[in-house]
Amino acid sequence: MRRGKNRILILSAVFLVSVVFLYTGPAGAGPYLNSAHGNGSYGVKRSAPGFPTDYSRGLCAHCHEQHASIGGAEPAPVGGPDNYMLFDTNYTSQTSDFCFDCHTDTSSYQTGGSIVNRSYSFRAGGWTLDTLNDILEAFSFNSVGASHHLDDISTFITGRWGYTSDSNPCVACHNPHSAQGDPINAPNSAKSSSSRGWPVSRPSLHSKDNNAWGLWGDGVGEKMSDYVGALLYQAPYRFGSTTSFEPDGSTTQDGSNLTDFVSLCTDCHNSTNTIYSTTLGGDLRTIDWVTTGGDSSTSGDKHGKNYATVGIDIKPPFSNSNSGQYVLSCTDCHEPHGSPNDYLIRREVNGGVLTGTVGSGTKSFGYLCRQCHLDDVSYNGKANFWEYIHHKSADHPYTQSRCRNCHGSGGNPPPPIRCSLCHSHGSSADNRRTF
Amino acid sequence: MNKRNHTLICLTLLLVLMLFGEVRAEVSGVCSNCHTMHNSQGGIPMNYNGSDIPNQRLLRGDCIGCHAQNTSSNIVNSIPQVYHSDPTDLAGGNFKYVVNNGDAYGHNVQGIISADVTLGNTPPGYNSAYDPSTTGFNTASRLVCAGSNGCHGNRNFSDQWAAVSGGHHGDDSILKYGPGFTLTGQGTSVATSYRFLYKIKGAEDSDWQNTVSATDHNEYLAEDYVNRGTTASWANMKGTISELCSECHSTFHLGGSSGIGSASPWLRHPTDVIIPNSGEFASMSTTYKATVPVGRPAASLTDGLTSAVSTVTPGTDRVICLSCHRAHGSPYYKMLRWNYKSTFLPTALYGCNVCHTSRN
Repeated sequence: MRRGKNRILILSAVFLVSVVFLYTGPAGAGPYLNSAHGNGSYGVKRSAPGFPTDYSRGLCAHCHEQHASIGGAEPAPVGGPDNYMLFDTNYTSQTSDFCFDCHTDTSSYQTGGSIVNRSYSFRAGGWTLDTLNDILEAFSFNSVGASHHLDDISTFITGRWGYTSDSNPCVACHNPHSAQGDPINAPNSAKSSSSRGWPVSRPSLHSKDNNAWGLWGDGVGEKMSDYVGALLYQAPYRFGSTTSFEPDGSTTQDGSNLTDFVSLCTDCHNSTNTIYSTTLGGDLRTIDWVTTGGDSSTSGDKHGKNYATVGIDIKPPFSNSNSGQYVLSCTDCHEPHGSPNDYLIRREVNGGVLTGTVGSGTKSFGYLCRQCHLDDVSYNGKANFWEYIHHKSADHPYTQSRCRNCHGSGGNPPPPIRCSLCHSHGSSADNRRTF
Repeated sequence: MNKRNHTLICLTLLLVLMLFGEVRAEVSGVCSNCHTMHNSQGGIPMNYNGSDIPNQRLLRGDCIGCHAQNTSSNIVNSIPQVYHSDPTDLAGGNFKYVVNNGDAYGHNVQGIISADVTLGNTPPGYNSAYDPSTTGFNTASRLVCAGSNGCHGNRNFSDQWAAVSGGHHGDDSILKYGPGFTLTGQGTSVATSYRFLYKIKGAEDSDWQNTVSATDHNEYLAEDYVNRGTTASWANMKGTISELCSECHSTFHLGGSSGIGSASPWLRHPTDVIIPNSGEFASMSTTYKATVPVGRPAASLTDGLTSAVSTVTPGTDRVICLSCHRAHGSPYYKMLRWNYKSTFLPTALYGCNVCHTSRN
């Protein structure tokens, strides 16, 4: 009887141990094996003349050539050896970067010939009609639209946080040995709460030690809800919905499911760093997302932790009643890589697609603003007109008299004023902080 | 017995003892393990391969004949075997893999297997300017065990017999663990070179790692280079095991933009370079793994070293070619020490992760 009982106990123990092993990842799995590149099912797998076809997915050799030679010759692309033993030059220009050798939809070295990566508007906004489908394409918005300028990034990070002039500018935000897809392995789908991954790492935490330079957003204290603290993050609507929210289409609205992108972006784009923009031909505006003080000249942006001092004439899901509380995430308005809009402005914001392109047009920034703020549609039916908010609302800042003093001459209605003359990061007008 | 005879006998015994003392560090065992007077015993050839053609120096075989007998034992008559079916391979590996698995699993040595179909006779990365041999590797000829087209012996000689001449009977006590061990004098001859690899220095495990553990293994010299050149000669060699490999696989070791570079970011995986004591390397296991050996600086291979060093010290020890590869052959693609082609990634990355601890 006792022997039988022991046997059952032993078998149960064996079963439980087996279950544990079956349901956990590979023994010793670390950040690389948990990354998009290091995944055995969908990770890196290089396809090139001279490269072994039977190397398993995820192997180092798909990116790194230990000897710049296999079988007595260098696999394509030839011309090595290259820094970090990569199979191609680490970084050359805005459209010639080692990462783009695979992250492109044509002639990719990744098996299959392409890697699909979608815009933030697609992945978080749920705008799955966006046709942009690869990273090289996103970084190719130069003359029309804008993209993160890789030369400028390279210049800026060199000498900071352990980066050198040899560093690939993509590595400013991504740890290639840890970065995950978001959503994971579902490039043609928007994020969902069950498919989340974490693609970015903070540049200020950069380290060659993959264990030390972890992902950002995946841990406790790394969400937008953590950043805003007692203030309020309000997730924008998902595309075409008033019941689901960014970034994952769930009903969560407080940023507890959103990476603290503000901390990530303000590692560089903060109130003290001077960043030259080749695109703009000058230094970027500094961004103070932290300092409060209302309309004080030393206060920061009201879209940040600074608070609104007057009505904000806002659209849902935002509410005027919380006007002093909102703190936005950078990604609420900006694409991280590039966009056909200037300043990397997203094409889809707060549930809808911008009705025009943000470019050189006088009112083109209004296409963005009206995604959250009230234009004249409900006042007089005119989209991207801004008479109500400036002249008619209860706390309007300007009374309508002597129009030409501000608008200049030119008819009725008077010609519009370029939005960015008054509204941009750090801007003020008439003793008001106006962004 | 008169006093004179007694003195002669004593002197003779003394001479024998002295000679014994001289030769005890050399090849040991009875002469017939290696030599035969007539290549005939009872009418049967004494050559290990059964050939009735006698060999130079009254030997029972050439390099292949003695050391690659392809039997079930990895050591035959005290002769270490490099081609056998014993489940335990000696430190250099086993040529059976290149025979059984294909060209990518070992060196294609003449006498064991035909030339590499892809590579022919040209060693990948060969650069004559970095080959210290006065003869140089002749790509019109096959890879052999010794001499200018081989690894063992003095590579100034194209003839294998001449290349290893004097090696087996020279005093190699300075290569053996014990009071006689010293790096001083190593590499001055074939006999005093690590495993008859001319100019190379290290400490030889007494059973070629037939038994192996953290405290029971070979040691390899690995020196760091302040300014690694793009040419090499016997005179400027430091005696590292990786230099031996680089005599033929030059561009995988030499400095500069066509080689490995000079510092991080490296262009090719560096060898003879200190494993940093920082970042992910600081998390390395400090227990020596014979499956992923490291090289030692001269300061670690001290005079009188009695046994192998059981630890690995980032910041001191070096990565070497043999950290990843076996010299003769291995069961794994590219003669690696682990199965890099495994479909189970933790297995495939095993060797990489020994040093690159955060790339797991």
